[in-house]
Amino acid sequence: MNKDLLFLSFSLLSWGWLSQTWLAASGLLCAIAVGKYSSWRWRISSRQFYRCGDLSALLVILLLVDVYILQPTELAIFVLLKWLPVLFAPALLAQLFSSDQKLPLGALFYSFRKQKAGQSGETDFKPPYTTLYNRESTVVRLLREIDFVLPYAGLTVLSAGAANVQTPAYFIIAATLFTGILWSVRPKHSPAPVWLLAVGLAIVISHFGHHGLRQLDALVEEKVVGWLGDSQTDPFKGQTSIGDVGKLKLSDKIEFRLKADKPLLLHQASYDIYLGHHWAVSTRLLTSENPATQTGNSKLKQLEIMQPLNRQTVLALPDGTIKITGLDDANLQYTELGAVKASLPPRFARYQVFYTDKRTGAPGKYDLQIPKQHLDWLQQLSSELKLAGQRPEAIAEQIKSYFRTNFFYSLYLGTQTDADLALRNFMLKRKAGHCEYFAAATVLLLRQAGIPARLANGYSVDEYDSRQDLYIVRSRHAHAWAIAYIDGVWQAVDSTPSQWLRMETEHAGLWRPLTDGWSNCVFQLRQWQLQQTRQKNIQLELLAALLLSIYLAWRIYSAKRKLNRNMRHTKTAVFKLAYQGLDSEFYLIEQCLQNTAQARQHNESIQQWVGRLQIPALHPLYKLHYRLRFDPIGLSGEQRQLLRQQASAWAGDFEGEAAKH
Amino acid sequence: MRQGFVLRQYRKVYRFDNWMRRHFTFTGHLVVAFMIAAAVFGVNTKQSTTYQLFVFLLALLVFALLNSTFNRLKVTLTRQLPRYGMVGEPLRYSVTLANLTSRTYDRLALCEQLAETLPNSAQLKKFYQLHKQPWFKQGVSFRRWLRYLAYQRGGVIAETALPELAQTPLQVKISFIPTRRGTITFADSYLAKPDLLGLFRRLIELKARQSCLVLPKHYPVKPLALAGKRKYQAGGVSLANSVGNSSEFMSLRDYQRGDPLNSIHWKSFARHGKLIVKEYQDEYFVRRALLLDTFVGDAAAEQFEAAVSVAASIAVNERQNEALLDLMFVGLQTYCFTAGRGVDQIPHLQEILAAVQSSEEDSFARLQLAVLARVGLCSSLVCVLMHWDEARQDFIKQLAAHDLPVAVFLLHDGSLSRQQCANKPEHFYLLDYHHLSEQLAGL
Repeated sequence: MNKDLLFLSFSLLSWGWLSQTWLAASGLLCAIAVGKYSSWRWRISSRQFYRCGDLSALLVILLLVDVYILQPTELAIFVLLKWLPVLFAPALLAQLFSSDQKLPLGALFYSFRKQKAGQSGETDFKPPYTTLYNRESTVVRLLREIDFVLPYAGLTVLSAGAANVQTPAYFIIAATLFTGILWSVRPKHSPAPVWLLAVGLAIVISHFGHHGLRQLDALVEEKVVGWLGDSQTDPFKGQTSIGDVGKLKLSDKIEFRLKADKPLLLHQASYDIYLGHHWAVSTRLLTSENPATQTGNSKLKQLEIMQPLNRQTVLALPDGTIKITGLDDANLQYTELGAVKASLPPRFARYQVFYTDKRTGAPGKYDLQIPKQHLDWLQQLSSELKLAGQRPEAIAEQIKSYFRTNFFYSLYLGTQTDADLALRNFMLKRKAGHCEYFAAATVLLLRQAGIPARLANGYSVDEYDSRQDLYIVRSRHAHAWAIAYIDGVWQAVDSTPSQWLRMETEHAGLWRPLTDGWSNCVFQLRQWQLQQTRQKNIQLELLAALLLSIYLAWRIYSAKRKLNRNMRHTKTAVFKLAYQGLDSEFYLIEQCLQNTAQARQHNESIQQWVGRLQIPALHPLYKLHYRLRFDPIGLSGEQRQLLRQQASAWAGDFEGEAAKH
Repeated sequence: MRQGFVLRQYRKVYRFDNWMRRHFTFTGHLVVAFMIAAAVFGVNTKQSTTYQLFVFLLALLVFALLNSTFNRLKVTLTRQLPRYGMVGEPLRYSVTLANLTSRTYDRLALCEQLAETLPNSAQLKKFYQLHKQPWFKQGVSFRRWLRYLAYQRGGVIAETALPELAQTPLQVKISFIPTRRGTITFADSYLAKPDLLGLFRRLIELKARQSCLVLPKHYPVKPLALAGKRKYQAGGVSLANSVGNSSEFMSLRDYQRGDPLNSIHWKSFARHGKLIVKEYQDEYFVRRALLLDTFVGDAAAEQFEAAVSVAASIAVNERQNEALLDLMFVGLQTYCFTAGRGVDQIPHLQEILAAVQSSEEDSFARLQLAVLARVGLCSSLVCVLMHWDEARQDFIKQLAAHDLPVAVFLLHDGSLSRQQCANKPEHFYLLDYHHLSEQLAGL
């Protein structure tokens, strides 16, 4: 069996087996076998090879459009990897059916096409000084074409890795194929036993090596996830910027859009244990049952959220969320404190939320816990505000008004790195900070007054986009506030001075219009994708295929027509050149002198003949004759007329003279 | 400062690229490419199994690298270079390799390379005339950097795949096309020997530093029919290049004050007791001057090269036995070299032209003075110019006033037409340097 065919069939069958693409693999194998064994060979020009490369590129683009736009899949890149043998098949088949049995590198790399065209184009027109130093590199191997069979076999085995079959099969296949390829190209001066020993050792080492790599990867992933874990994926632990230094970093990135009746606060998670820099949850339990239930017959409110979701996201939802629709493929998990964690393949989601606007749930013992290190100023402030003995609603209002009148909102984070000292500093000295300071202090003050309270974080929905009739929620709209258990319901106590949104808007970046524009484009595309159904996609694909076929047909037709036209032109040009000027009147002169002593000899050119005759009148005439006969541009109308008249006149005169004699 | 940093990065990239190209075989390159692709697709070991292929290929490459450190091949190289090469014409030479070991080696490749010095900022600035560009175009891209390097190197020699190298010396014929005139230096060569697996190549250095002179490109030119008279040449042919008397003896006469001592006829002095000197025959012959204007100014470097080529073409086509030819140009100083009628060989003029460099602004004035000092000796003058400004037009007029036939070859970049050129002499040839060969052939 042919060596090339052996490698190709081995790799394609392995690919078909591992990726479950038997049909494609057998089809390709048949085509390759026909290419190898049949005597059909075509003379394929470089340009036609390039077209095969272009076809591969087109297939790649179509596949990418399909997996990223039409039917977004989670691991699009692996779909591309899986179909590599099909995508590169045009180039391989072009080589197998060509008479040269080689593939120009320009078919695979565009830069090779450009270089070649430049070289051939320039050499004719420029002096060598300028043209020849276009090849810059010192190391030139003059590699313009390759045998694509072995690289294709390697590519197929690489592609089989996308099947992700976690058995030794893939390693055995890959090692066998590459060992076979390397054996076939090994230098003759390598002793076979040493060669086999070296490759054998490489196989053994890599066998253990890839197991080690897998374990290392798992370890690194675990560490990285732990390190990068934040509130987006952990509903049990919230990190604040209390105790950070410098300035609060604000981002204009649009996180999601929603359709709602009025501005509101969207709750992501709430925490009941104060840990200084962090807040935590006392009950670390996720359940699939929503703890919030509808009480009474009050009508549910509704809003719609459009958001790109990651693999795991803590959803930002209004208080008292009862039901979420539109996330059917997601696994929703609820915490006791009202956070909802969604696990689903990353995608753009559009979901509807039904809510009562009332957060329920009994308070726990941690909701009244006061850290000892803050007890002194809490007691002092509580007695100053005379909170003891007042109704809970009045206490909440009094705390809010205290912060509004005595404190300022500031994006400056201060210089204190200890979170406890930073909070104390905020309350007693600085009296300025961002929302997390206000929220944390409010929670502690409420607890000091005997009201169960928690710290909540989420987003403040305020920016309305009238063009899209949607509320826009940016990263900088992230907000923290206190929730207090008053009258059997958890109520929001947002003590942050109201200018915070305005101040943050003033810090918007210069690039915001651009980033917003881009975000809107992506949003529209995702919206469109959501509306697409499988049937619509097929219709679209069929339409694209139809347009492509029409375009290709037109290209073939126009190329043929151009070829015919060129051929016709060439024919007429040849015809014109061969017979041009045979009707010249100068031949009359030659005829006149034919039987005289001045006749033109057989080996004499007209120029030499006229020179010998020494008749000045003939000089301009023979020049005109030469131009008529041999100049591709020919003579102008006037010159042709001149030649006709003068030659005829000269011949007439000569004949007249001859008649006289 | 920023430019210096960028150039350092270019050097690093260039060296890395060359290292990769030299050290890996074609199979090695494929293995590296597959290894990288397997690593990219296998970053997440839970999503695909290509990381297994990555580890296997990495192990193979490590083995190949280790194996290449062992080498027993010893080779000597001798290079037989021709005396001259010519720009744009293949320079063919042969290399003899002798294997000093008893083993036969396969798949060896010979990498011949021309010496190169990596350019600095000032050289690039001068070469690309960056000071004339607006500030935002003064940066040098990597491609331009490479282009300068390639120009300075003077050519590219492709790697030669060798047949089996046994004990008998192996002669290899190599050819490449020189891309610039002047001296081209051959750096040490390398013999690339693939390792056991055929992936990585051990480069064995072969010391053989040599150089070769590349002459400017010639084009066929019809001999010019300039109506020049023969002129008296003091000192005759043998001394035509210096000051003195003719060597053809005519008669004896009494010594007069001022006669040179070496013309005293000592035998007659002994016989007659008074000083008698030898008198020589006056010599007359045709002497042509070829003037090359080396001031480039705004013109492109290619235009200057074309001017040198035109001068070389005229010098080559000169009838060597019938006339003397003075080549005049300005470099660091004003030069005049004479050849013809046995005084010197025309190829020597070609060697000089191979080394001509462009000059500063006042060079034409100096050249003008040198020419006017020799007007009495010259029968005719051929000027190769790159500008047609007033200074040059006046100069040509001055020569015409001396009744000296002048031919002017004016090189331009395609922007000039004959109508635009005022005060043209009778023999005035306008040459577009892009179409030099056609235009010179059509004269």
